Amino acid sequence: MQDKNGNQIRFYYDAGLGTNYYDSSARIFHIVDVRGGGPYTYDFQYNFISRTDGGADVIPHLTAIRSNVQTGETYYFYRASGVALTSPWADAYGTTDILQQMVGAANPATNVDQNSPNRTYSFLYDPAAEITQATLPPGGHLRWNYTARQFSSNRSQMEVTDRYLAQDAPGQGTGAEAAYHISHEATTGTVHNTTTLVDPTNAAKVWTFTDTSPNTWQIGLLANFQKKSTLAGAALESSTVTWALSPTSNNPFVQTLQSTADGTQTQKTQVAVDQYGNVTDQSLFDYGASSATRKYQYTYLHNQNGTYAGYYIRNAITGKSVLDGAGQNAQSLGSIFYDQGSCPSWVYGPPTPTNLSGAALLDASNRTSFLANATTTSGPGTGTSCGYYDAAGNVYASEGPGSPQQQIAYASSANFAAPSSVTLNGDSSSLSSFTYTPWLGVAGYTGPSMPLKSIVRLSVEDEV
Amino acid sequence: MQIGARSLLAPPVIDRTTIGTSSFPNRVDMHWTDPVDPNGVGIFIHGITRDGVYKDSGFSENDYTDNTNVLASQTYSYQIVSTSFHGITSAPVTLTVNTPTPGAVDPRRVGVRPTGSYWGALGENIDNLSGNLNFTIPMLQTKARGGWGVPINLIYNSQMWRKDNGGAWLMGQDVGYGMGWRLMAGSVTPSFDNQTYVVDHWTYTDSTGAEYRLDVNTGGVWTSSEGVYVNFDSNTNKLWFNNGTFWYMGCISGGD
Repeated sequence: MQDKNGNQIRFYYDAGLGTNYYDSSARIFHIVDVRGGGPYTYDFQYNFISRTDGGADVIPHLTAIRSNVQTGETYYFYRASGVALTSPWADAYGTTDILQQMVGAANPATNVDQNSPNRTYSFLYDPAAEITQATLPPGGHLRWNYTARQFSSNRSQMEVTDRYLAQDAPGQGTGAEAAYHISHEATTGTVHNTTTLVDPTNAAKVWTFTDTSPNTWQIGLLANFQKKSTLAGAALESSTVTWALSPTSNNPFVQTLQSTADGTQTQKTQVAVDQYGNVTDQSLFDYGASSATRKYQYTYLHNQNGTYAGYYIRNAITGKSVLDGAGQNAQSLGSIFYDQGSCPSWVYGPPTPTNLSGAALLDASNRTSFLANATTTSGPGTGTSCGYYDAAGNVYASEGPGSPQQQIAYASSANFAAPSSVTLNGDSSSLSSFTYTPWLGVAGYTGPSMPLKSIVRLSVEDEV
Repeated sequence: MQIGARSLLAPPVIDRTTIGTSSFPNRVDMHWTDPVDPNGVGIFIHGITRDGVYKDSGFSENDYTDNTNVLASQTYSYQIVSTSFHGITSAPVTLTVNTPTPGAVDPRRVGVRPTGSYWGALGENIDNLSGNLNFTIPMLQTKARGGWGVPINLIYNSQMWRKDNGGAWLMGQDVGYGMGWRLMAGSVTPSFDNQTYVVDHWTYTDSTGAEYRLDVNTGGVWTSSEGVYVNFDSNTNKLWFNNGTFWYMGCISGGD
């Protein structure tokens, strides 16, 4: 995986059965990210040797994931093999393996202590391998019942119809389960048109879906949602949804969301999107208003320079404006400029980026000047921020608003992924230095006595 | 190992009554029971045609999904033949399948989709439309420079079964994590027209197990109209997202 600046996360896959060629199965074998640098960040282990029932393991099964950067993301997997598999309609389907337990290592530094109860998920299943209970690490559990439901064309499938939540953490006694019941319309067509959920207090939620339409893309989309104090009572809140298709790409999006409170008070939000799903116009109708109260308009980088679209940079916002209900009197709420070469008010000489030579997981071979790095941002009352980016997309110098000009260096010891030092206003006596843990947590700090937050800003986009 | 004369005995014809079919506006599923062949050398492969045009061959398989160039409201004639290990082909069994109207969508829906409606807590997402339970356990949080990263989750989807006039269907699999569970960042899978070896469409599966049909082809860049904005460039094997990030799909699974 690679971001627009060429930063990578690499996945390595295991060999497929019967081959010695890696990257020929869907089993992740290693992951290396910027914290691992050269060594693998995560290792995956599979059982090729034996099943828990003593037979040969036809399908390699995941037995462990190990973090090599002390994050605590180390897990062990326990399964049962040779479990009889029966369809919900009592057809025999041989045997299968089921995941019974996943245990997280308690000690992130050593990956040991596999039996930590506080990092354990346990699972129960019905004969169809449908999960019926998940016991969570603190000790509570979720439980589910399934029921076969028949649709048109004599087609049946299993659905969750009851859900239970138990707070039974060890040492706190075993609490009763809270039951949530799910039901549907009496006779089902192609898909459901109504789903009702009743919680332990008898309060209800009701979802209504489009189940027939000449526009087949609308089938299955949410049409209405209600909250009720009781199922038979009036709606306390409701939301009515209308959908439309995005221009040229024909993807469904919520065009209008109308919310009603206490059965009478109604407000509405209406949007338009572009072919990439970006909201371009938004009209807000306050409670009781029959016309738009105010509008917002959004502009995007790919519309200003079509070259960006060719690099799949299609959602970088460049500006937001507010208008009155008639679409007049536009006022800017902020703007962003990308990929500019310099900051206009920089006074301490040309800042120098860190030499990234030898940076791992950085592919600069196809680097272009169309990166959508936000170099200047501004907004009413917030002033202007500006930043310089190095070849990895790190901010190495920034200024404003209301903060000193900063020069930020990155060191190979953290694989150029986190600031190693920060200098303010060109004053070497202001130098602050940082060291990091293997997982890039701050391990050490030396420098002027001031809060960390005030002197480190990693992205000018944070100001928007 | 046995050495002997070539068996010229044709495999038995598949019993039509054992063939179950299930049809959708853009897909036909079928499965069957292989006939008993006590005097033969065993069935090596099945061959399938649709309206007289070759569609697929499957080694030791007794199911098939036709999802290339299948249209709604059509009548298709399929034939299945069996070929023995000694290369002798059986007589065909013929079946007729009617695909439904465009609105007869599949009620089964797994994963978590941007246009869906879900309810739950603690990693649980119950699909309010389909009734599928998606249960997600956050596992890993990979990191790149600038704070960018991709989460890797262990996910389970409950909707593994279907029953209709074609019988019961198992659509879930144990792919190495236990029945119904998966752990992945995402994948793309081609569906070929085996007559022309041309890709008909791709299926993008996200990290929740939700599947999206990428069937809009613009110069080898495939997109979807199912509410997801990804672009698979089959010329470079890159799956692009709209922020300029891409996944290079350099691992080709052998299917196990």
